[in-house]
Amino acid sequence: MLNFFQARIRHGYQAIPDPLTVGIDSAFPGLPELAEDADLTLLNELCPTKAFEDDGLDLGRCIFCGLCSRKYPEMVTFTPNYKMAADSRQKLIMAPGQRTLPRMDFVLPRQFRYSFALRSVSAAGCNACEMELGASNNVNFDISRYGVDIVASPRHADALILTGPISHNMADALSETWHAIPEPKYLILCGTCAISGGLFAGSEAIDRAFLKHWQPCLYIPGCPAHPLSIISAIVSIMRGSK
Amino acid sequence: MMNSDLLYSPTLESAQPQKLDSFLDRIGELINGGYQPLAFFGTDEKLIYALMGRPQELELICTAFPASSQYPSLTPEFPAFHIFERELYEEYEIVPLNHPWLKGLRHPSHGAVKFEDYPFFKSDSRLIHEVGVGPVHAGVIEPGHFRFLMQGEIVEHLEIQLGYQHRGLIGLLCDGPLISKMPLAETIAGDTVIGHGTAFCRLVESLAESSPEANDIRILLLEMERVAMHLSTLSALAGDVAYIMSQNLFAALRTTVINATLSICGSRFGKRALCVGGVNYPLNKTLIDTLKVKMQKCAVQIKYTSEAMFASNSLLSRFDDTGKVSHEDALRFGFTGISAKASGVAVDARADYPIWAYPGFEVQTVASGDVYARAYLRYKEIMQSLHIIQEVLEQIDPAAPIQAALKELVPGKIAISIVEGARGRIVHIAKSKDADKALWYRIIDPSLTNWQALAMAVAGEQVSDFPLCNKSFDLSYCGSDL
Amino acid sequence: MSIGILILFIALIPALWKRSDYFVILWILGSSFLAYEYMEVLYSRSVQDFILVMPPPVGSVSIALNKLSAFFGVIFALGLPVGMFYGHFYLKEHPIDALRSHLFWLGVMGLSMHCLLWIRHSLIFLMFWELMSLSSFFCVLFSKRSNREAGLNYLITMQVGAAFLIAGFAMAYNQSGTFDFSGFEKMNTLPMYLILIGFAFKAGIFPFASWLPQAHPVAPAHVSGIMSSMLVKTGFYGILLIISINPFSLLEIGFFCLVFSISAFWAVCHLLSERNLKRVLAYSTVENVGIAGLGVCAGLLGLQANLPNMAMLGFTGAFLHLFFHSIFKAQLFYSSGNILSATGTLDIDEMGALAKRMPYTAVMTLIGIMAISALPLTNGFISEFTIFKAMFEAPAAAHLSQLMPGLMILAVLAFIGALAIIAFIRIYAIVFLGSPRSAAAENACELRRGLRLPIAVLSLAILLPGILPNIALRFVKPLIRWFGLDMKHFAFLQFQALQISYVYLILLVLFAVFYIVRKLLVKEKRGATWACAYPRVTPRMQSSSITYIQPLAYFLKPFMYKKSRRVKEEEVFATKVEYDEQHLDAVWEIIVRPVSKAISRFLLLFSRIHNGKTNSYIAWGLAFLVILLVWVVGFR
Repeated sequence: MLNFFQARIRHGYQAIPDPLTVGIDSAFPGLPELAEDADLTLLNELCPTKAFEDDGLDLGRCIFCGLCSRKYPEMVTFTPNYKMAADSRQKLIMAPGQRTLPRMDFVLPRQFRYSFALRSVSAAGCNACEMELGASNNVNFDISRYGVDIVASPRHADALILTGPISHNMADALSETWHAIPEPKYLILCGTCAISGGLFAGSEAIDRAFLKHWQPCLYIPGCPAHPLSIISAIVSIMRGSK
Repeated sequence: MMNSDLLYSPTLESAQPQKLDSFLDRIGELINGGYQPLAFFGTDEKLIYALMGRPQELELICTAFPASSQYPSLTPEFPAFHIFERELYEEYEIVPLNHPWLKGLRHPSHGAVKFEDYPFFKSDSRLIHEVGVGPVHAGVIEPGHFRFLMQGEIVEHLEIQLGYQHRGLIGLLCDGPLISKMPLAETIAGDTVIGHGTAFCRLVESLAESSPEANDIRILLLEMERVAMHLSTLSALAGDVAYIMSQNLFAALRTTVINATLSICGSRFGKRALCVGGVNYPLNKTLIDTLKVKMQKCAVQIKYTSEAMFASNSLLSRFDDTGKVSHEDALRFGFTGISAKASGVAVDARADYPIWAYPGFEVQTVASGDVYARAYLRYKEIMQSLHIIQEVLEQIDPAAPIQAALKELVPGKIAISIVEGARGRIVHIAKSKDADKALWYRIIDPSLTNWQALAMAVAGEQVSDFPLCNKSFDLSYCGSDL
Repeated sequence: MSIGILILFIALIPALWKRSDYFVILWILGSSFLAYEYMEVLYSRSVQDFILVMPPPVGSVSIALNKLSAFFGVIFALGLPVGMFYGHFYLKEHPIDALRSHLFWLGVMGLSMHCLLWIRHSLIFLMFWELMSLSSFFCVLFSKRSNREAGLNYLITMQVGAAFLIAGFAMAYNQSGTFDFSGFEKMNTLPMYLILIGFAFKAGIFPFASWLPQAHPVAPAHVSGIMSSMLVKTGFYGILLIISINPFSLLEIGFFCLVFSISAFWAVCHLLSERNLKRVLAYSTVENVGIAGLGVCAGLLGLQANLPNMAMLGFTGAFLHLFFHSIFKAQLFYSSGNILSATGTLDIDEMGALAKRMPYTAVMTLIGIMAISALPLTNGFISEFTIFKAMFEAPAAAHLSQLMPGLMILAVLAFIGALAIIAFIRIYAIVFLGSPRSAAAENACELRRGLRLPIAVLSLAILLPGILPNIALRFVKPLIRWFGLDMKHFAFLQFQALQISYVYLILLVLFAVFYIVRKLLVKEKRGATWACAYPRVTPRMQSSSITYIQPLAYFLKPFMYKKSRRVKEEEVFATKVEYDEQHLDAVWEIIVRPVSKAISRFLLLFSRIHNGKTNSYIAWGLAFLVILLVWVVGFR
């Protein structure tokens, strides 16, 4: 019994006081910044997911491997800014010289302001995003403090949070889960694989037809998405971004 | 002291195809000689390879595809082959005759058994009912379907249908220059990034016949990953029996460890840390010192928390004697990692097929084979790994080069790399096609063989103990589905 | 005697012509007359009494009704025609060859049940008692396919019970010198207990109740309904007959408490684990008889402890429960008959989803199950509530020894009630909810109106006194007065009953308002059951019946007698998994069956005597006479 208290006392207070403003280790590759004169074609050749488009870097495809920033540090830098999220696919593209992502227009209806239940579906995610999503609810990050709950049944859910590139074998189960969620319902894509298929975009075992039918309301990039990114993104659609 | 020389570099000459009979006989001989099948697979060259190993020794043999597309199954005599033969059957439609469990494994679109028609084992008794769980489980976990045959609340039989996570990863690995596939190797199992990443790097380096730099950083990352994964499992195990304090303490400690990993490479899982030829990010003096202090603190807290946890009667009454896997079964089915070591089978790639010297390394085992054994073994391994981490941190030279120059692959060469990940023995084996591509690439994640251990452990338990048993093995879905 | 009995007698004629429709019409007519007669006796002060003088040794036979027999008479007069009506349609659904004899014996059974109530003479009483046992035995064996073993064992058990009665009556005659029931007053202990045991066989009290779960499943639904809800009550009538005229010591009352508690607990343990629908109901009869018995015990205890309120509540509760049980048990047996007709099986593990296929039966059964689990809005709640109220008076007792049995009954009742709810939730969930477990359940459909009407009538009879308990209280009031119980407190009970009605009224209105508002405001959308997104859900993925009670059965293990068969064959992987288990009645398996087997084996030794040769029969006869002669001469 004594060692129980000993362990507890040594543990101390572990929760992050405010996950929306807390600083993060500078080694963290967050929101990338492209130099004005960045050679996108050159960078795209290097990129394993071909995330560089004509008008900038697509965060929905970037896996934050850092290959570009290591080779061309003058063209790409990853800032330790974990606040990366967008309410449309188009807004995820970081044009050269851009410093922040565009403001999110999407806000959930009022009834979700203090209570938002998520049903997580892993559709061939590699378990990194899944673990980070789980970690969002652990003692450190504690997303529950904002009224966000990860629920067991889709019947109790307000939104589906998808991780993984959606394998062929998982496609039906995903849409069945989606249909089991009562209206009104929202779709959140968490991680690069979910947003664009990531490294697996070209695989024949992937079936992303589901996303053709349903429009996500929130994209959270990252490989995997950091718990702080997940929390700030979800809270911002609950409260509206200031 | 520890050095970073490559002690064990199993580069093999490509084996010459043998006749089917002598191939099968040889496998029998090897198993009777104490070998375990590490891999057994078919390739597009129409050859069946078998990689057999026992501590410090490996043997790769192969045979051509049988003309009749069938051969006598090895499984009835050596059950460890059951999953490999299912894989072979699914991928190349070579039928192992008299295989007792010949069903689809991953259900790729060209598979022999369609996904929806998976033939589950059934019982005709009215009083045996089925419980089907998954693919979408209650928590935030990967998909898989569990089918229980229940006698009331007691599990008579569990069958696990996987394949939901099949992403066609092998195909992508062989498509394009192997050296650019590092990010892909890191997603084989996103929670074993360093394990699979190291195996991949070692394999490519072997194919290119070059030796890497910064092996000590790789060891450091590998052991940190092991600590983090074991902590995550211990946290979940404590949570499953409602021992909330340990659940939160271990979760917070895991955060500390993975945040330390983040401070090295930028990713909490160790993504982007490794590259073929070495590592991407150097460790400076300050970071090394911070890490030393952090890990030291962690070790103390883990010790306190674990001691409190393993002294709790309410927790032990759930852990003890639950989900037993016998020593014989662990040997027979060739389980690896925690699943084997918790049943008293001392298999650990760090001792058996070492790529680095671990001075004074002893394989940790617990004999009882139950949930307690697997939980306590994780604690023991955490402490062992933390010790190794401290030693490695002492040894790292911040000024040493971190990347070796890359060479081209030697065409037509077969290479093997074996790494002990957090879950057990990871085997990568590949043959190079030309200077940059692989002809075929095989990944044997420890989960592939160990899922059977879960099925066996749950039989006879109450179904309410299933989450606990499942968590105690903590197997990877995507690692075996690839 | 009466015009009603006469009409019932005439009803045997269409039975011989196989005209079950006329038979039923005559039964309804006769029963109406009888009901009127019984009511008259119950409410007027006059007691019909006439004496039939018969040759010795019978002597003068008093034929009379008192309030007690009139009370049971009403139960029979109301219940039997409903059963006959249901039987008419049930027999259309299950045609039999021996319709003539079945109808005949059915008529005889009902007739003898009524006649029993009129007779105050032990010899004639026994005659009708035997007639009732015999006729019910023939009713149980209703077709050639039915299980003869269970039927025969029923007959044998009844004969053993009758033997106790005969012995008891004979000793009572020796003591008082009269066959009239008036001679039972202030009896010696031995004959009294012999008679009580004899009645206990019929009433279904442990350990003499094993015949019930054996005989009911093989009998047709209308017969098991009549037997379980009414025939069994004749035994309880006998017990009350003795109790009403004999005083008991505290020790004896404690002993009765123990017997009824064990009886009810034993029954509820079996009913929890039983898988045969009708057997579940049979066990439940034993449980409910136990509950009514506990009510009687509370009444006796109240008299003993000089607590008039407790005595009144105990007896009122017991009478109400006997009355209500005859309604909801009959209702459930007829419902089970409908289920059997629709699915062809009684094994609940073959059923499932009947609520979708037989919505009407599902609602009706739900009402019956609510009543049997003593849930509000039903009559079962009212009677058990009254018995509970009686127990709550126990702490007022002056002496600890008077207090303890009362508290014991309270604990037992509460525990039994909880277990019964679990058991019936299990039954309802498995039979009506989920998806069909067999092709038979899949193809089940609602049955003809004639089979549903009696159930609807009985459901109404469950709900009406459940919501307006004063109707039922008025019915038992004369009986309570006749027993000389406290009428002041009875008036208060009636007031409380009124309060219950008001509370129900308010709740029903609130519920209706809530329901309507919800209907108007909420748009309901139905989807498939969430099955973890697995596409191929099969009916096998539903809990089997043993799942519901397995954790509970672990704790009740000492009270259960389980036989299981588990097969698990494994080579490298499992090749065969099978499991079957049966919860058996230990009394039946360990005592009744072996004994009856031993008896038949013993009697088989004499089968050689029966060799069909006249000369050997004459030889045996002669030998018998010689032995008799020797014995008589030697005795002298």
